[in-house]
Amino acid sequence: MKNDNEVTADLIERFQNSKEFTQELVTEYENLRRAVVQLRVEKRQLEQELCGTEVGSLKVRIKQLEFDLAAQHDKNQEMAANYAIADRERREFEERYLDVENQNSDLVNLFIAAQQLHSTIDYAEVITILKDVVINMVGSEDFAIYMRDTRDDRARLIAHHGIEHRCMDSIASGDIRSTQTLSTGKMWVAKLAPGQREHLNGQPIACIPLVADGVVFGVITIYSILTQKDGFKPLDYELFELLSNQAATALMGARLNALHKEQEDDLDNFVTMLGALPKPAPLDDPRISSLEDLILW
Amino acid sequence: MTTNILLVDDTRTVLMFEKMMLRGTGFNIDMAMSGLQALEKIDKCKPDLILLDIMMPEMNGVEFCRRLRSSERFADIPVIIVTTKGDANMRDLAFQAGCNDFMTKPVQKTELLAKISNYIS
Repeated sequence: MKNDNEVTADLIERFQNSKEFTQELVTEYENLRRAVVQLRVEKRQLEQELCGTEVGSLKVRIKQLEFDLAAQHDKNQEMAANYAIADRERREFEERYLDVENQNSDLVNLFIAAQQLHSTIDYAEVITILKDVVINMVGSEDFAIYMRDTRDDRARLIAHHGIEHRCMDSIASGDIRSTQTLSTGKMWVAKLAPGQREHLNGQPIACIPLVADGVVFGVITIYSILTQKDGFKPLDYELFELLSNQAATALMGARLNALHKEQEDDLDNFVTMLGALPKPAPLDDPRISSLEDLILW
Repeated sequence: MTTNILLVDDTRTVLMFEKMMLRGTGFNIDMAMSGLQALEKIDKCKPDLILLDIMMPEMNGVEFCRRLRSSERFADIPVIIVTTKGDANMRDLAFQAGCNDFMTKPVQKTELLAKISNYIS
């Protein structure tokens, strides 16, 4: 067991150690405080430096960028407006181009129809071409072509397509439209409802007069249009006008040509017949002295 | 390289019309007035595309199309049917025979060129 002196010495030593430790802690604390103060000073200095240089320039840069952005935005708006104008012009141009192409196509239709109608003077061929034009260009497969017969002034059927079931030698008595067109020379076209292709009662939907030199000598009567066709379009009216005149003159020309050929053939036959007759007797022949001699000769 | 197009129709008026439509497009146009005549023509010079009518004498368009598709040499030629018969039955018949496209008369130039451009670049 320790005596009192030894215990006292031990305590004193412990106190001494505690004192040293406490002093060390105080010293360390002082050092740390100094470091904190130093850092605060440095921080303040850095902040001042930044305010003076970097942040300032960055703020200026940001303002510049904002200005540029606004300018760019204005430019974008201007470009968008220009683009809208250009786009509208492009669409207008496209529409115009389509219009021109369609007009061109229509003109080709008309040109080919007229050119083909006048490409021959053969009557049968003109009829075939006329039918082709009505089928392929007008778009009808039910129609009849009547021509006035000069002998009795009645309109007779000269060609038809797809109407065998109601085909008649001349215009049906109930067909007022065709009769009217033939007498007045005025074209008549029915106003068809959307999707309508023909009249339910079998009446015509269009009557086109065949007029040459101011004289109406026939009529094209259309009874229906093709399934895919939605009514008559402006081109159809132009084709009707063209047919009214060009088909009429082509038909008339071919008819006259046929008539001319017939007359030519008749004349040839007559000349041949004349050639076959015996030659007239030479009246100054000394062998013929009486009527009997002449007959015998 | 020139693109060859063969027009097949028994109507001269239609052939003239289609030829006129394709004028100025740079295509080289040849014409035939029946399926048989068309077969003879393609044997001599293979076209890049055929515009084909259906109702024709000797050999109609559908029969021509069938023969074309059964031929190893010509099976790949694009065929566009151009006809007055626009009903659904005819359409089905034409596609069953192997046509690539179908359009009805009267023909519009823009439509015709658009259809052709689908098969010829």
